[in-house]
Amino acid sequence: MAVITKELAERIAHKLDAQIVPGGAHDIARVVHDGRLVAFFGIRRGSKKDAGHDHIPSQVFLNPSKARLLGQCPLSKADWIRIIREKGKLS
Amino acid sequence: MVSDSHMNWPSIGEESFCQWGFDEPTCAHEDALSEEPRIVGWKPNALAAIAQLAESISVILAARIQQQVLERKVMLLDARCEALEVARPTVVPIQTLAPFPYRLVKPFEVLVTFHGDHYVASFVDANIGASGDTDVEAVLNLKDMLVSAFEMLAELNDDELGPGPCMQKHVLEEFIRRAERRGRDHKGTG
Repeated sequence: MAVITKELAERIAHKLDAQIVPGGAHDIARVVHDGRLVAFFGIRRGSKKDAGHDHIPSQVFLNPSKARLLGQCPLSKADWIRIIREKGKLS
Repeated sequence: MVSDSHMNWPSIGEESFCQWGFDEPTCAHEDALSEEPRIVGWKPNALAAIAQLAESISVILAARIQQQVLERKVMLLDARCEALEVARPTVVPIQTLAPFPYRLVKPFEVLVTFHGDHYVASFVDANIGASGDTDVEAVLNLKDMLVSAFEMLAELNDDELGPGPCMQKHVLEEFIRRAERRGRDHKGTG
């Protein structure tokens, strides 16, 4: 089973205030912080809400379980910013 | 009140005692029974045989239990091997970005992993990935994603990028170039 479904991927994008740019087979979610692009990931086109998107965790610098928490409620954008700052992905 | 003397209790004589198995020294069958051949010392032999039988049964049961445990372990290992074979990452060489109008400066490899119900193809150097229902679809989606990412990042200066996308941009630039246009010029010369 997919850890990150399309539905969760869209929730992650929404939670990170990502800008959605239509692409080819994907829509690209761009996450901007302090005027800089800090992460991006693709969301597959199609109607299947349970389509797997397990490529997303590494692209938002999280492990799969934390990425899932980000898509669900517990992990906020502020938490995510703190985590990726600690990993040197903001400076 | 009804006294016992009014009830018709059966009379219990010597024969009755004998029929019920009580040892009655005056029983008429006593002599006849005593004449039957007696097996001397049968009890210890029987007990020893029962003990031996019990031991044999316990050995057989232990062996069967061990066999069942081993069978179960083999089944689990078999299932794990099958799962590992399916989930085993595959390295796929990428030689071209066709049909996209880009060319590769040098080929690279992508890692394809199975995630239970879909595949993920990853260009690990650039930390860019894409998913698909099949391994082939995942690789095609990754190519599409690489091209989209290359175009998007090329439009942005380095100071507009965080460390992650900045690294991704430079890695992609090392591998990908926009293809030069061909077409009408060639047709015109023919």
